[in-house]
Amino acid sequence: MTTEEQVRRAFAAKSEQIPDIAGVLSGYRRRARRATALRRTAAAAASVAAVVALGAVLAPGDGAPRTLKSPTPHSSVWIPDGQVLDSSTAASDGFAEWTWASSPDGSGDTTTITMGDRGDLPGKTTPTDLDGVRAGLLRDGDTCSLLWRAESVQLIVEARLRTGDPCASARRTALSIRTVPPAPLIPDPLREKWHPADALRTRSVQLSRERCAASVGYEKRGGADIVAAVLTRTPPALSGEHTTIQGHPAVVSRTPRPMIAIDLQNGWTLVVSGGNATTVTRFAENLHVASLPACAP
Amino acid sequence: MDFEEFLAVRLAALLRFAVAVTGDQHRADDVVQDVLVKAARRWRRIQGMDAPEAYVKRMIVNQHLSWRRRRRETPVSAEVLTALGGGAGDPAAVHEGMAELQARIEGLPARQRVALALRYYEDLSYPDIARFLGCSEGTVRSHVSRALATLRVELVEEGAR
Repeated sequence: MTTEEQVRRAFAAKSEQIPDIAGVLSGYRRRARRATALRRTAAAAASVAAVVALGAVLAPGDGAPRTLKSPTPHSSVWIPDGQVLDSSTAASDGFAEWTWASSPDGSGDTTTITMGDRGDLPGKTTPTDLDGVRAGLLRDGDTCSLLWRAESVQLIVEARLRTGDPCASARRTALSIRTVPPAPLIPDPLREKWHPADALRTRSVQLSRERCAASVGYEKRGGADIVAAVLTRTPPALSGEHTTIQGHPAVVSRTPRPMIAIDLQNGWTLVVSGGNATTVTRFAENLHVASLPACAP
Repeated sequence: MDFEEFLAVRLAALLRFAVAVTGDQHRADDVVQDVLVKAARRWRRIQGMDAPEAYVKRMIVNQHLSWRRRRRETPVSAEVLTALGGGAGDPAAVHEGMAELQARIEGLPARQRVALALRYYEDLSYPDIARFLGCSEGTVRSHVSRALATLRVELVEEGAR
């Protein structure tokens, strides 16, 4: 018998073993579920990280949009490479939504936008007075949003264009900004008083929009402290498995904290869990989830 | 055919192919599971290809080779396998010397073993193997030839003992 024939028989004999189809299928489905969950978590984290903000300010309470001195809502601003776009002071909570669009000849460009206080630029990209990541790599068509609570913080937007094109210095990019009016889609299910007996209470909200941003704001009332505020989400395909939104797993705070903005997808459930100190009477009076309209193209 | 239907019909064949390529049942299971996760995500695109199964098999080979590179695994010699009783499955196969040969095939460099599996398990022609692996026909012939030479020498040495 030739070596080739022996090899052929060896392969045939080896492959005659009955494969564990059920075991492999089960393992594949388990890995697929895990991969999907990881991918969604990473996408949520990226959407929070790739945040750019400056401009429109919504004063809490009155619902009327106000804007910082520049840029104006619904405007496009051309940013030469490396130039600081603007510096403004945000006097109160704010929300801004941004759509990044490169110039017509700038397809494929990426741009890093940094937002921070005056002391952070240039050089450092992480602002000190704001919660969360404020620098992100954006690509054409990316839309970002940010909700912030800032008092006497100077906000700066700086664009740095990265491109392989040698003519990049002449290229400009457009940052389109629009204000989003406060239009909560959820009928305020979480804006209520919580009592000590409600410690570690959980409320969930089913979101039905195809894409929306949600914010959770919380602050103490009557001397109460929030000891934990956990925002999780449940993907529709993974009933019973919660994913904690990265960066905001739990909070212990005596002072009002910045609100956060996250991107959510259709069918996800937002779960907010909170607890309070045992001796306080109430807290989290304005713990709320606000859905915001989908970003404009 | 959606992905689940594809699995129902072709999973057994894919697993057998993976066993031939990896030389190990458990490793084949691992490789196939990883590949299925990736294939499921891209199924719409894979489905539109001329030969979806061939593409998935190529993914299995690539996954196996990539896994081998990461692990930098040292092949276990046939002697060690024999001493440990590894590779000796079916007593009839042992009787025919199949287990020893299988162990030697497993000890070949990964690319040589993959080329051998495609040639003698899948019965692919050299040009087809070259297309499958994305290399030249000469490279494939070289892999197969060297693998056979190694096995031939070992078999001759075995016979001389």
